[in-house]
Amino acid sequence: MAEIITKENKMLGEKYYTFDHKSGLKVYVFPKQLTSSYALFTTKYGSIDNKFKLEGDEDFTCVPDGIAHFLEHKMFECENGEDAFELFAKTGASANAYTSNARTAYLFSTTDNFYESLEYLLDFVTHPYFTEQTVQKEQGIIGQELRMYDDHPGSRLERGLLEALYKHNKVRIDVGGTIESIAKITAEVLYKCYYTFYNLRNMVLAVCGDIDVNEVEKICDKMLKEAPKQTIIRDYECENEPKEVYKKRSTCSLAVSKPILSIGIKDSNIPSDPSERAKKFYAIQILNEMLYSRTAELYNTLYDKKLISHLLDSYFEQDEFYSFNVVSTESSNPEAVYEHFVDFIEKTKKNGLDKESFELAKRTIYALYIKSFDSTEEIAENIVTNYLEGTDIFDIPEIISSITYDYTTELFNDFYKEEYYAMSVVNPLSKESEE
Amino acid sequence: MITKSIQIANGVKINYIQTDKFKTNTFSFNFITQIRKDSAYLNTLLVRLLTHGSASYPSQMALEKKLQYLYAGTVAKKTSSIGKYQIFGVLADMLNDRYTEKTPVTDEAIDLLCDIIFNPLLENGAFSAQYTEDEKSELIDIINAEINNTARYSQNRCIEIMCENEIFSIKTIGTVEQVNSVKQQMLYDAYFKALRECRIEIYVVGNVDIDKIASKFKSFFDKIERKPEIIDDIDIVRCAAEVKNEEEIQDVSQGKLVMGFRTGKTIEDGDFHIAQLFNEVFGGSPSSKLFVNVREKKSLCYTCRSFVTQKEGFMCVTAGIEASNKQVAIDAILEQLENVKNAQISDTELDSAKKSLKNGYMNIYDSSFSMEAWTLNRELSNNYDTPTTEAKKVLEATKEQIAEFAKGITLDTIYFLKGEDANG
Repeated sequence: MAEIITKENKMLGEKYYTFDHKSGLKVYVFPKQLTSSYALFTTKYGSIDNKFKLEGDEDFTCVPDGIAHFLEHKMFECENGEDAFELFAKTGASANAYTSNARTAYLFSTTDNFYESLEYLLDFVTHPYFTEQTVQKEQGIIGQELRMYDDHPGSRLERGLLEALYKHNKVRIDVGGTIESIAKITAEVLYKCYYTFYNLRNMVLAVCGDIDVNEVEKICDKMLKEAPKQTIIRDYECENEPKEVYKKRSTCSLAVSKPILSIGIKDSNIPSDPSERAKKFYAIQILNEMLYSRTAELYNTLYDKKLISHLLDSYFEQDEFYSFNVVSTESSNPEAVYEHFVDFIEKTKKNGLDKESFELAKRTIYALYIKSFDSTEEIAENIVTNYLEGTDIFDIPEIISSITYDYTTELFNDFYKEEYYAMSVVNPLSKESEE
Repeated sequence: MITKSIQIANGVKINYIQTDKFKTNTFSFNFITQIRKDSAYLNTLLVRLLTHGSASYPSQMALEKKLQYLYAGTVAKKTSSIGKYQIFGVLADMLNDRYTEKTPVTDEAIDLLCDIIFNPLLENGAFSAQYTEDEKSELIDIINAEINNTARYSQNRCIEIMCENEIFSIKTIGTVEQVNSVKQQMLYDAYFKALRECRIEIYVVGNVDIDKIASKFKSFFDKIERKPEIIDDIDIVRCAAEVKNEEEIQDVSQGKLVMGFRTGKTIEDGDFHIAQLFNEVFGGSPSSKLFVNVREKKSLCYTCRSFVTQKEGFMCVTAGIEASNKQVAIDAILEQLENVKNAQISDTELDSAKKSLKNGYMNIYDSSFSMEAWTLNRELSNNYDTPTTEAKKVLEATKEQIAEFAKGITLDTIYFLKGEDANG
């Protein structure tokens, strides 16, 4: 029996259990009295992990772009020819999976038969089965998925931005790869990736719902074998990545009614300490709320000048090896938006951040955190994110409350410098590409 | 699901769903009217204007600051249509007072909502000229941006072609010409017409003092002379005539196929759970016939799915495919439909569909927005079954019932969006 640790947060009226399963898997159980339950089985393996070896290996293995995502698709195929979706169909659970830059996740949500569904989840993700024939079939389906994203303005915008911000960092590689790169994938290389990254010691399970922790442990006992101890060495080749952006602009043309644009801010000062990194993460969220929400001067100026009629969307992504902030909108004149953005940041630096706005933005970020506890999905996702980032989901209120005006001002001044900015634009088809 | 309903004026009801499950309280204020080509777009524009600012919070900035102060409260415009109805109004959610660091927000949130609806920002007896122009140009941008999402665009086009002579082809968002022609006075008239004549359903989901909230809303309606409109019944096309074919060329790399069918049945005919169960079996889930056969076995596409509508009596099948595969995909889709019509449904397929649909029904209880949408929707269909009741009925349904429903389905329209250099 593993030692089960209980953590509680009185203010939220929530608690969770966690244990290190003897197989090597970290498990979190978050009881929540809702109708549906959610399970999330994640491996720390994404599109950026394309060069790696195990400790003791002589050489690094380099694999084709898009393989983590390809592997995710292939995991659903079972050895008896069944599709994992068919397994979940037996319990009524709704299953899915996704791949991002740094992780691959398998999940389901269900209102009935949770434990049986959990068995299926643990079973299919721990049983790979690939043949040359099934790999070929998947190349057709993923080819159509990539084409779908080719027509998707938001995906093209983001890809363009990452290609402008970064010269070497692997975050610039498209998660799905390309039709050419996935054509190079074989069953053999899939197995190699699988046994490297789908080791239970590189994974985490989070479940949330009307669930009993002891039952979860029993299912882990039944379904999981002890994973070999191994240390993965990943080469992100990011030592040579300059602090400045690689290109100032990236443009393409697509069937959109008006240009859409993303301004990216590249960030190289990533704290190595997890709680410092989390603190910075929430401080940037507060700043984004101050600088780009509808309360912000920038939005209102652009709106009054009729340069935008859409919101300024912003998001911040931070990992141990990359960090960038993004502001997106739609405008008939992207260059004018960019100029206003630069001027606004300089002016704000000169005049200082507004203290009242800071307090309101901080309150907003705190409230969004509280709201996230209304969904079993969000809770499970946040548990995993915190685990992979080395923090705890219940530490967040304290981290947010520790963010001061002075800390935020200093962060703002270092974070925003023009050499860190790049812009990606998707133009309507009539406007020729500038590249 | 509803704990309490209070009639507060002629044609105005406040509905309370009490629950302690959530950290937020959710509010919605719904004006309900018949979809009309000459007024739907005015209503759409009206709610945009109401949520742009009120007399007490006269700008987007002032309104947003207030929402930040209310702990990331949200106020969103709501515009949708279902069957013959257009629904427009405001949707809001606020943290429950238990979580707001000893600063209660619920009373202020209700005041804000009332301010937005009953106390709009006016100048010289009309809506602000500036805001009207701002919202007009924003709405025009949205209309023009429809093509940005090729999947949704294709689906809308198919429905437009299929329902050319029915109100379902009316775009409640309006056309560029309609929106351009709007004058401030037209919106002001639409506003008073809405307050006087629209049926109004207010929803509150969470844990609040509902009587206090009801009397607050009532005090506003006491000053309004209500004359609720009568909404006419409409005819539903039960069966398709000749199949309409339309192809459109745009610069896209993936072809989008949308097939529109008439199902012959709406929720008003009863037993709508059978229609939904049919959809699960046919193309509504990853274990459906379309997903398994058209996507997985034939590798024709990444997406291939179907949906049935509740009140309009139609079904759409959508697929993203290589243009050269158009006919192959159509044949594969129709073949699967034929299989359902012949009750060629395995026990496993039936069982999976039932469980998946039950899961979908029960999930509604986990979101205050879903509960609000469900109850309003059912209210407008005079069908007050809860998700739990529907789930129970689904478990008792048979293959024969599904096949019977499928036999009533007829193909009406095939729409295809393809790239310039696509062959096929």
